[in-house]
Amino acid sequence: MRRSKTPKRLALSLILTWAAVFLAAPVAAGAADKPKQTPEAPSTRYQRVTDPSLYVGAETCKTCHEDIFNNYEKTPHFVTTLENKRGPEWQGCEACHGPGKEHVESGGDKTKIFTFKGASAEASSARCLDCHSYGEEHSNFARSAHLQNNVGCIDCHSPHHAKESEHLMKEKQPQLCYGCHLEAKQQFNRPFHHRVNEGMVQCTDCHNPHGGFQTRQLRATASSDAVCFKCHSEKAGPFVHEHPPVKTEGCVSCHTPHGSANPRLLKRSQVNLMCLECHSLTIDAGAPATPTFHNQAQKYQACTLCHVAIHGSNFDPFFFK
Amino acid sequence: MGKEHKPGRSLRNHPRSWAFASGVALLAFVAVTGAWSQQAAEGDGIDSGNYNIKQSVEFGYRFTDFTGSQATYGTFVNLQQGPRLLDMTLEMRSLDHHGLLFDRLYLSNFGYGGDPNNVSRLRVGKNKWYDFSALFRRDENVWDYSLLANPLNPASTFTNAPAGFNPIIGTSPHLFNTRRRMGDYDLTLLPDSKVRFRLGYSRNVNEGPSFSTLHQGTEALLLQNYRNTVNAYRLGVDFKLLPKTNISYDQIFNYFKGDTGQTDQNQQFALANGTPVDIGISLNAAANQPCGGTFLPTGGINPACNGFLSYSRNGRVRTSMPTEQLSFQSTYFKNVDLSGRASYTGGDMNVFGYQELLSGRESRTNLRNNEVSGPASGRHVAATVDFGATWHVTDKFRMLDTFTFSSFRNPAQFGSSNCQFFSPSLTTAPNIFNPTPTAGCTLPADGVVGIPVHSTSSAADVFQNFSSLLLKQDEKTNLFQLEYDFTRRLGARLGYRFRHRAIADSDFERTAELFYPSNANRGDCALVAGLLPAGCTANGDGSFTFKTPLPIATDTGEVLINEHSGLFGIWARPTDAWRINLDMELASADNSFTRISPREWQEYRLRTTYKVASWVNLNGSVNILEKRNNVSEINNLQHSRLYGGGAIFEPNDRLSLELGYDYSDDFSQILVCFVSTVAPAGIAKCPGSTVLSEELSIYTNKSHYGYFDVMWRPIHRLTTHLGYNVTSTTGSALFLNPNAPTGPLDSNYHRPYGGFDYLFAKGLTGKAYWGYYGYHEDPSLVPQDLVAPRNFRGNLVTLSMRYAF
Repeated sequence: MRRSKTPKRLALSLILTWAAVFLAAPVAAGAADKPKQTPEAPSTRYQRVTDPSLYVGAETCKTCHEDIFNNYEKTPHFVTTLENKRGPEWQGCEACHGPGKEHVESGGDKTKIFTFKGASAEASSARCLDCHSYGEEHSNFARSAHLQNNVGCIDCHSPHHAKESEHLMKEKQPQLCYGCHLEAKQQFNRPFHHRVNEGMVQCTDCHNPHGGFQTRQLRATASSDAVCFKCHSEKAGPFVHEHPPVKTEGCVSCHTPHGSANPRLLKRSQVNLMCLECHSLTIDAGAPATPTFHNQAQKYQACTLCHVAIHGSNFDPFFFK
Repeated sequence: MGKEHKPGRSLRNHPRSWAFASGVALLAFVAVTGAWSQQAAEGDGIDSGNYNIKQSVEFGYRFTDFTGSQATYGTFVNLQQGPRLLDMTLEMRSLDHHGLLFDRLYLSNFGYGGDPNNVSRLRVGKNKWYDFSALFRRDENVWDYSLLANPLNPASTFTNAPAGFNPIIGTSPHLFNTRRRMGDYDLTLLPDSKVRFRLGYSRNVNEGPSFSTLHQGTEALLLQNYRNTVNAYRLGVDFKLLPKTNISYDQIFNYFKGDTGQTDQNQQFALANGTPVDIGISLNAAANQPCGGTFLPTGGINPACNGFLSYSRNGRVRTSMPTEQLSFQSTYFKNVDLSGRASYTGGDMNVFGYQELLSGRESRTNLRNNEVSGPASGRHVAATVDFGATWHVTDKFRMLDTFTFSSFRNPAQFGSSNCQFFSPSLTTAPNIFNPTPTAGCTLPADGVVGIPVHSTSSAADVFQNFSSLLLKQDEKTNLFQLEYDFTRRLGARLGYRFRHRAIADSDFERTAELFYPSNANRGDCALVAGLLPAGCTANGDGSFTFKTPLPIATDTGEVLINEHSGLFGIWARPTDAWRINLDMELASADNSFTRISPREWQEYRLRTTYKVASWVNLNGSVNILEKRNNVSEINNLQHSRLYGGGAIFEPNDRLSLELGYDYSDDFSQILVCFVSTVAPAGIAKCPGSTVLSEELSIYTNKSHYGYFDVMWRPIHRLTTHLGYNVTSTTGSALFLNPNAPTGPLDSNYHRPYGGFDYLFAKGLTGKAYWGYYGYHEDPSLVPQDLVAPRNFRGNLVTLSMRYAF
């Protein structure tokens, strides 16, 4: 078969794109550089002010914000106040809100310190990511669907007033996710569903809310398979006789993973309706057509009665066993 | 196979349960008076030593009363009667942040005592030294929904059938009653240091009895002892030695063990000589299933019938999957965020000790005994490279690029050895050809020397088959986007994604066969124009040997697909309280791998949340997905449209109301080719066929979901709850079998609930809740509860006490 030129064009376009990024970034960064950042000029990239004379310490913040401080003291973030290897810009309240001296000296002028309320999702998240971006869980948040839709860290997390102490969440799953993803609530309340409402499965088991390289922020197994195989491991294979769409199109080609009115979370109410959509006589179609003796008015309408190992078989090319 | 859940019982019949629950309540109430004076307000915990401790426990009893289909209730709900640890939490925090073994501990549990879902979560950590998390989940999976994999036998009359015989199958032939236990354990050492270590272990065990089926002549019902185990080990190291850069290395090892075996224990009938036999579950007298004249006038099963006298199949599947992964994240370059990952998996699959033994009859081929054995092996080789970059050109303008390369190859092979023995009936012993011994086969215990009685469809008596197959896919995707924040309240993005996929497969088969008389010239040695075909040789004793002629061709195929997508999105915050998000994707592909894979698709998503006032929250969403593969002979159109809205009213902490409604509309049409004796007259034949009918298969599914939840606290001590969830589904499909019910396409699922919490004292709350689960199919039929076999109604009352400090 004649080799397509598309991969070469793709590679060339990628090389040019990356070259533009790496060559132009320092130049543009130089042009975009601002004078030493002041608290009044939030940026989508968090530049920590390193002048220690501008910092007052968390105990000073407590004098006016005692309730917040008391909550903060109970959270893992309080450990930053014990930080003694790096400067005050990494410690306590000012690690996130920036230097507080001007805010204190002005009698509490909110414009003299960074406040998360009213800040853009980019700017507020940049402060969190300066510590939390290192690790596969958060490293792609800048390109995530959430941040692209102006949903930042503090839309789900609350460093001061978390309702759920685990991960400092404003609300526990799945109620937190249902707040925006209404359609998921309906899907998980259908008769056949993954047990998210029952607490067995969480949204974050399958999706990474902080983004990733897959579409829909789906996770993957270590062997680059669909995340479904983490629990449904017997379907992963490899098999001698693969059912190719399972591996090439994914489980969602036949199943609706959130919930369905149809048994086994299938997209169709009857098994044969699902199978016939691919296994019908079509010129150039890859899937074999249904044999002529498969009378759909009889037992043959229950395809998986015979084709039991439908996700793949080691022993039979027709998936009988 | 015994079922674990018991029929529902009424409260009236169990005075001991009442006494138990009352005793718990009384004990707790008495205990409170002494404890109250020592309690701090719930939520603050108590300080003990160097720790602040908060704990809660809720213990209770559930009463159940249901009518209708126990099978469907078990499949959908499976909540049974009995005592329960409904919830338990423990939270500890070091006061001086220098705890001896830990600074933070969080433990939660629920569902223990008999509920189908049990979960325990633990997080414990010591500042700068370690973080440990553990998650244990246990899930009972009862599946007995009878529509799926059901032969839907008609109510036909079997002459001479024994008294009480009913061909209708009421349960699922693929019934499950399994338990899944999953544990995930992760330890991070020195979490804040420049070099940190991560260790992890996961275990997933899924086991229990289930049913399966096997097609060989008839469809026998097999008892399947399901057991699959995965052990996964993870080791990772993170290096933050370079400025603003983290490099991670992970070594992961997954080990899968499949030990599921099958036997036939469904011999419900007997031959005339008293030998038990399984005639299968496809019973249709008009279609001669399992055979014509199944029951003899003199009693017993017709020995010419398809049937299983005995069957077993087992093999140990072992799959090891090591993965190496290198990843990095960096903000070293000014205004550029970089992340990347590369991983490689080289997995091996082996099947040890595979053996299949059948004693029975396949009437089409006269097969009487069959032995299959042989090793299977395979590999899963996968390589993935991901790279992402964000360039913050200015504070308002960003360029993003994400590149993904993913490749997998699954070569695998099965070398089977088959020995088959033949006879004309279930009561006739299989013949062993003589004088040539059947080399390499275990002779059936009831075999007799003689010439096997073959049919023209009989396979070879002895054959070895080697199948070697490969499936692979290479995928390259690049997504380039531009983002611009016009103001603090408005932003947009534009993107282009290109994806190239190359899917290929290959199939290599090599066969060696030995055909004994009678009718030795059959199969691959059937005479062609009076001559032996290539690969066949006569052995001189009437038997023939076939070997796949050389060179052996390998069937290959390749599908190339190029996808182009345009993406657009906009977000807006007209006020701080109002958020609107819209994004859309318009895409096309020049090819498709399956008939249902789209060549064009569009997706639109709109979400909005609006905090009208401090006590009023509104939200809404619209999701529309349109797909098309409407080339000739396919004509596939699909859409999935979801619309929803909700509102939350919380005027104060004593009253709240949440309500919402969602509507979903799923549609699909596609041309299908089939044979059906009840096909409508006048429909066309499929192109290229004079037998297969072609019809447009239209599927519709419209679902309404509505809910409300009210919380009202009329007095400080009393909190009441009332709510309702209902899912109503209607739809239609192309029904080709006259016995197929609409089933879930015409169903309602009601779940109202209500109850109250009473605060007896600080930290001590009594609870009483009622929940109803009602599932109804065919609501147009009255009385539906008697007609539709899968309906059920369940009333659950849970009484509990919660103690917290």
